[in-house]
Order: sequence, then C-alpha cells, then structure tokens
Amino acid sequence: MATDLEHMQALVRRVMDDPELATGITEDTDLFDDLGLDSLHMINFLIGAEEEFGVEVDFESLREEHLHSVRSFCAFIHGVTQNDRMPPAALRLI
Amino acid sequence: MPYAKTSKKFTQGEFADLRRTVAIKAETRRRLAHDPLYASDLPQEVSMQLTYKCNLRCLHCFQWNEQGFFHSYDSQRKRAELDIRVVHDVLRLTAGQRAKLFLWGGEPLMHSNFGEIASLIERYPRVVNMCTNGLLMERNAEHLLRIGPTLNLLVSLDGFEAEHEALRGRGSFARAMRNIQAFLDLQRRGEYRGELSVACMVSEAMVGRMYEFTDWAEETGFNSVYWLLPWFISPETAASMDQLYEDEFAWLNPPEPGEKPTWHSYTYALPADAIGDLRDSMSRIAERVWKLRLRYQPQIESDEIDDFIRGTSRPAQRRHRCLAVSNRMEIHADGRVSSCKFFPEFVIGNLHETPADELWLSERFRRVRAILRKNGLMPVCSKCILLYLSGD
Repeated sequence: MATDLEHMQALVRRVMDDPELATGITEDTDLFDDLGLDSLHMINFLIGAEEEFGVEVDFESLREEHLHSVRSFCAFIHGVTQNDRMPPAALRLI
Repeated sequence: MPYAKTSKKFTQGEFADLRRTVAIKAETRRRLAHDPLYASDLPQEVSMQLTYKCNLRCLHCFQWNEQGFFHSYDSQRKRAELDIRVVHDVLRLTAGQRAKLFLWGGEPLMHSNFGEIASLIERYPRVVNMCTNGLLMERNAEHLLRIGPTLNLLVSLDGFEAEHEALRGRGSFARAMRNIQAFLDLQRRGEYRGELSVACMVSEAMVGRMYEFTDWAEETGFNSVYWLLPWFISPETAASMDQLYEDEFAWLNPPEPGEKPTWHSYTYALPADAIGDLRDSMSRIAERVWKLRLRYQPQIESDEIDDFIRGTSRPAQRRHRCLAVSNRMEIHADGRVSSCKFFPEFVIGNLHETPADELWLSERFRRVRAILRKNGLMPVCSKCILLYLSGD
C-alpha cells in the first residue's frame, strides 16, 4: 500500500510531468512556493488528488494553509485539518 | 511543453475562485460516474453574450470578419442585445450558488444598457469574467467599478501597435491603451479592485515576439497574459462535423438551406511553417520566472501543437470529455440557449419562451447530453475554450 508521500509524488509526476520535481517532495514541501503550481496545474492537482487517494474531497472547505505543506494537504485529504492538531504520526506520511 | 513560471502569489479572491472551480468540476465528475446524463440542478456557471454588436471588424474574428457568420444574420438580429429581463431572471435564479458569470459579445460594452446589467450584478454578486476589446472601458468605468473586486477584465491586444492594428484597424491600439491606462490608474488608486489582464492571439506577426510582448505586459502592470492559439478549424474537420451533425443533431437547429454551418467560419490560422517559432517562443518564455501569470489557451503539450495549429479534430491538454454541458449555461444575445458556446447549431431553446431552469433540464438538452456522452467529443470540440477551461 502506497504511503501518502508516494501518492503525492505520483500525483505531482502526473500533473507536472516532472519526475525530478516529484522525487524531491518531502512532507514539508510547499505546494505553492516549492512546486510553483499555477492555477491550471493546481486545478489538475486537486482534481487528481481524489483519484490518487481514492477519496471524495470537500473542496469548498479547502484553505490556502492546506497547501503550504504536503503534511497539511494530506491531513486535509483525510479530513483532518491542522486545527484538529492530530499528531503527524497518524498521517502515514513516511 | 515546459510551463511558464510565476512568482505571483494567489490573492484571496483568486484562491476562492480556484477552489470554487475545482469544487464544481469535482462534483460534476463524481455525478457523471453514476449518471452519464447528469446536469446540476441549476447552472453553476453562466455565460452571457450581451450583444452581437461590435465596434471593430477584426480580420481574425469568426463572428465579424469577411467569412464571419454574423453577416448571415438579418439586420435586426445583428443589433440584438440580451434583454435586461433575461439577465435579471438568470442572475436571480443562480444567485444562491453565486454561479460564476462570463460576459462576452460582440463587444459586451456595446450593450446600450450595460449600467443596468452592472447594477443587477451588484445586487446578485459573484465572480465575473469579461472579455472586451477595451475601447469602451473608460466610458463605462462607473458601471464596471460598481461590480466590485470580483470583476476580471480581459482586454484583447493582439500585439504591439503595428501587429494589433493590422488585425483590428488603425487607431485601435492607442484607443485601447488609453482605456487600459485609465483602469491601471484606477487600480493603483484602489478604486478598481478587480483584475486587469491581456489576451493576445498568436498571429504570424507575433509568434516570434511572444517573449517581448510578455515582458512588456509585465512592465505595463497586467495581472496575466493569455496567449490564445488561433481557433482554426480545417475544411476537413468542418466537413466531418457537417456529417456528424447531419447524423446526430439534424433534429436540433440545423442551418437554413444554403447556409454554411458556423464551424466553417473558423478560418484564421497560424501558418504551419510558424510552428517552429511557436515552440521556440514557448521554450524561451518558460526559462524565466515572471511577475505576472502567463497562460496559454489551450495549454498545449509538445506533441499536440501540430494537430492544433493545422486545425485537426484532436483536442489539446489530453482532454477527452466536456463537463460544461453538465454545469454551464450559454446564453446568446437574442436569448437563445445553446449547449455549446460558439455554435448556434446547438441552440436548445429561448429564454423568452422558456424559463432558464426548465430549459436547463429540458428533454432537448438531455438528448444533446446523451448524444455527447455516447459519442464523446465532436470534431469541433478541439477548438472550444470550454473544453480547456473546465473539461476532463
């Protein structure tokens, strides 16, 4: 079973078509600043996340801070926001 | 193709708009997985063609150039403007979900009652994207400012002065720039809080100057540059569309005998020998991190360029399905509603005769959706912006 980080790498590889960028992703990677996703990539990335993670996402509740690290994005995907203060160990990131 | 990078951060408004776009798209995809004929209860996006009238006669325009299909309209229809009552009804109907609004024309600011339309948008607020040639922005400044920070103005400038005027007529560049500068001034003073972007078609004259123009646009202060690849439909693609329409849609809204379907009007093309220059320009642009946003319509992949420029039916961006037909309503200036933005052959009905919600879920609309879902994309879909903005 793939970890969240592996899912994120696969997703970025697919959306950005950039294997090097995907391989360099860590749980601290900022989706805006480090990946440089523009609006089209961001739309494809978010839509692709549903397929990649096999979940339905309530995108209306997405906030910018969810995209400032892979960790927060995965927490959002799993329905856990940083405000819920779940310990990182619960997130299957590595 | 390598993509263009930007240092520009998403504003709160841009992020909210993006989130809404993703939510609509995700919901449409999920529902289509269970019901191929799915349509949202009400349109989640609305496009209003405010008028067919235009104050320019651009050489590349599929509406008003020499082959443009608006010439076949009778004199009354040529002057048509979207009825204020229709605008009001649709805005009120879609106010609950704040359906995003797209305004276009002709030239949308040629609508003689644009002030009242702006007041209605103020009353039923939402994100508004408007494509304009820019010539009447200053004259309508009071109305445009009333729409507020959710207004995104996209002004067409097809290059620097010489290139622009070769397509749009003498004097048009300086006039557009006066209006643009006026709005940039309003923006600096905090009076205009929306966005101001520029759309430039990749013409033969501009294909080698794309980097230079983008640099100028950044310097000028635009939010984004949209590079528009010409929506050329080759005679072969148009002929295959004729056949498909005859086979599947002859019951809908066929052209009058002797009239050519409108997809034959998409004649402006970038010469095939300019494809190398296009690749070079896109590669050069991708080498720099820009302070503005830069978008290609469509965001074409390297192996798709030849087909797109030559006007084949192959879609760009790896697209394979239209979602707009399930979530977006296209309203023409005479009140007709069509399933496809650019092609009146796909008119479903008229808002002067049928309420918008009824028309949206009508049997005729359902039948069009059923055929599109059964057959997949049509030959002309490869030249439809909606496939690229919100398709799959």
